[in-house]
Amino acid sequence: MLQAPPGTRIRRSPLATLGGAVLRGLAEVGQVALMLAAALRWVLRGRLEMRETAVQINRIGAESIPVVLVTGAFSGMVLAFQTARQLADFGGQGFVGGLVGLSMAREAAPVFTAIAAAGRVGAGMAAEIGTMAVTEQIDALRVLATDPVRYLVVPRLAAAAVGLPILTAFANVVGGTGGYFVATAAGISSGAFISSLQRFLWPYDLVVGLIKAVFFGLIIAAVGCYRGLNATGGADGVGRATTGAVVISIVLILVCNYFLDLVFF
Amino acid sequence: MTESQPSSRPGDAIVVASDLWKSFGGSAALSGVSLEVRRGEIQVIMGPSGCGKSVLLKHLVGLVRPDRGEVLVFGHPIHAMSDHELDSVRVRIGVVFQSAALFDSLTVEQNVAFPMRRHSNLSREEIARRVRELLDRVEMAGTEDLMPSALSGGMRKRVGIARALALDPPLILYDEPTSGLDPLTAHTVDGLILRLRAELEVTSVVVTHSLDSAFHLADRLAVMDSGRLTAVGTPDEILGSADPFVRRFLDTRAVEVKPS
Repeated sequence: MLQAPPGTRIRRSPLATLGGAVLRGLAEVGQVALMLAAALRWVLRGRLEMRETAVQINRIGAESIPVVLVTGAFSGMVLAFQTARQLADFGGQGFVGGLVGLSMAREAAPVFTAIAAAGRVGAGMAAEIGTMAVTEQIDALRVLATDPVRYLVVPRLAAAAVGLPILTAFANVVGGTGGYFVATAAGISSGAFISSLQRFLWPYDLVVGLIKAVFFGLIIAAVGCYRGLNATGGADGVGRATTGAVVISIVLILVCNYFLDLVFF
Repeated sequence: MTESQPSSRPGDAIVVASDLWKSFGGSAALSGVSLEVRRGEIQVIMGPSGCGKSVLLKHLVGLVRPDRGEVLVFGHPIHAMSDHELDSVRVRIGVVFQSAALFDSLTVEQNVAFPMRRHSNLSREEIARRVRELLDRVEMAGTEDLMPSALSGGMRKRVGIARALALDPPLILYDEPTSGLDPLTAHTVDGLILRLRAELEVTSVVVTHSLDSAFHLADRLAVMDSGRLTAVGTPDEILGSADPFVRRFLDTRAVEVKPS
């Protein structure tokens, strides 16, 4: 697109380099927006590839559940470990359960789950679709009168939008459980932990966490698919598409997380 | 084969490309290419690697849009149609890709069935039967349940041809059908292309850098050099051409082994 052909090395002023990067970034945002608009048109027409979507949901679940369970459990455990120690100094043991639950539901579960999924699911999408792109399979889809957005992108967007909240819910459960065990081991009574959890954690917090997860899922799938579809240049290009997809989606997840917090809390 | 509105008579041009220009990032791939492909003929486009022949082929099915110029296929203005509109034309064009481009997450059977599942009302059983017929035609019977990764290059090409034939397209485009194949397999694939023309009366456009294939297959030949067609004609006319590039290209066949 806007890239100079490989091998060209032109000395440019820093300002021109920065400007070029900004323009490239904006062009890419535009391309992603066009892809999402095309995807939305297929959804609105009710033309979902049910089988492909089911395959993708299954794959997201199967690929990510182990890593999500581990990251979720340890997030809850470290939160409990730190808060139990700090709050104990101020006699605030009664807040530990609430703090762990609230932190998990609002931030830790959705964000860490999304980051783990970006590494597995987003990278997988970019690699798979990227391989299809550099081996002419995307062209083959198009000449077989099958829009790649409809056949590949929409199912992955749908699967990620459904899968991420489910994974986040899992992370909440294991995080809370992990936190419970660490807190009780640190001398906080089981009853204190649970009543504090009940007092501070409202359904609203859980729901917002899950809504955030939907957005993160869409980011992961959109970036992964876009990078894959635009991969060029053989195995090397697929590799670049994959790493690019992971880095960009993690950055976007964190930025988006901040702005979603501004909206919801 | 159902003909849609702009129909064409026998001997008519199925494909008309006029004055196509295309450049990628400043380097010209096509510089004013015009070509007509007549019904029922095998049109071969030959030339060295990187001369733009594959790019030209991709213009004929709308995978690449020209910067300037027109492409009419069955009378439809391919260069100006949206992807959505193109789909109705694309189901009537079979494309055989250089790398075969089989979907590697699907079995051979699912690959060949793919166009029919999506664009026909055939029942499961009818599709399965048709897949067997098609695989039989390309001498790949019995490979239904294999994954593409388990096939050799020549086998993949043949499955790719079977998939391209699935919807009975009146026009088939072949991108380097014999490149990367051993001479024996290449000969088989060439034979297959000729047989398809004879049995199904399809129109074919074959892009190749192999002189052997080119003269074996062609009803009409076009020689391409850096984005231009330097000569177009029957194989005999090309052999008699005085164009220096055509001569140079033909002379590469120095170590000629004539089949007896």
